[in-house]
Amino acid sequence: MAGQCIVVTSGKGGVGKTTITANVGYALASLGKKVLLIDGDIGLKNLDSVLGLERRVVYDLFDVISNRVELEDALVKDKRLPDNLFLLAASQSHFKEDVPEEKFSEVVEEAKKLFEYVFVDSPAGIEHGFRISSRFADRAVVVTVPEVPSIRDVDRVVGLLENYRVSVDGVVVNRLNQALVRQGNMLSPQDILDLLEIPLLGVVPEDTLIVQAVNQGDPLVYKYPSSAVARAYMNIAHKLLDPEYVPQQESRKSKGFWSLFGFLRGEG
Amino acid sequence: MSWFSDLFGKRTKNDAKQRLEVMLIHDRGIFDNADLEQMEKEILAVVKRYADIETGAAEICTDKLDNGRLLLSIRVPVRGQKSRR
Ligand SMILES: Nc1ncnc2c1ncn2[C@@H]1O[C@H](COP(=O)(O)OP(=O)(O)OP(=O)(O)O)[C@@H](O)[C@H]1O
Ligand SMILES: [Mg+2]
Repeated sequence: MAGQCIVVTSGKGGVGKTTITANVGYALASLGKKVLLIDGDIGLKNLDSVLGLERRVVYDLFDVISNRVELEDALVKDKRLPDNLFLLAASQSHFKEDVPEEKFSEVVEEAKKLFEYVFVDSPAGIEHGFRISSRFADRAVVVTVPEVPSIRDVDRVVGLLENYRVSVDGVVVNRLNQALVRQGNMLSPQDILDLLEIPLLGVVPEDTLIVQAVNQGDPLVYKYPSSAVARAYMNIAHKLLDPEYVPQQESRKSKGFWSLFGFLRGEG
Repeated sequence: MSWFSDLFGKRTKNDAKQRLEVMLIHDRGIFDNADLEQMEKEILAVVKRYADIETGAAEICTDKLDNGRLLLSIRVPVRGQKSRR
């Protein structure tokens, strides 16, 4: 299998990379793709608990690069989608600097033989952890919240990704608060597109359901599949498969996420 | 309060957008030194077709305006009319 590696990155911390990796990865797996999620935030550990897989982690990335186990034996199978979704956890007892670039590259190359999509959840920042997560990726999803510092960081990260010859699929605008946008007190996705030089990959509304899903150890797309946020993640997954994908129009009565697209077209 | 601030409140997103526009220009280094030099050469070549100028004393620079925008200015001392022979 000649899979592709997609890094999810942002520059600024806490903007939603891990949540997006878990949910978009889950969404793609639910669409029948074979997906591996690699937690690139070495030293911390997030992706396992967002997926609710923390108790099933036996080996981690560090066990693989130090040749203690084969990659395949270190993977945690997600029982909700047992044939399609796997996790390679991060190690908590090491630092990012303990992972040499070429070792990480070997893991990515091997993973691409086994999976159609290999997602790497990048740590915040633009240092070593970001570099190893991004350098060997074929494609990138960049994440921002509609705030000045985050957008500025994304612009910087896009420049670095271009230097690495990683093709940027686009930006996900996370935690959009429609009421604030309507008031004129939050940048709209269109404003952000005017500023950045990359396409829009998706818009995820601010929603407390995300906290509830994380509390319960389930990806939101699994737990609340008919919510507006879940549809937002599903749309991103479709767009990764097909850049031309246009989310179908729903009846105008169903408010929420779909009216965001109205906003984008200036109907707001 | 809320309908009031909705109607009359400050639209802070315009501040955000303007500030970001300037920040990104600076961060991206659109006018880095090599660019500025090349641009100066090209502009002077055009001006030279219309006037007799002191090329050596020409100056090109960027400044930040009070409203945060970037000002690009070019100073070219002109000796006189271009000689028409
Ligand atoms: N659309 C959203 N609505 C509400 N809360 C959200 C949303 N997206 C993310 N969050 C919350 O924001 C917090 C940060 O999210 P997340 O951990 O995914 O960010 P991150 O970019 O991976 O952070 P880090 O840089 O530390 O790795 C979490 O508490 C998450 O539940
Ligand atoms: Mg994270």
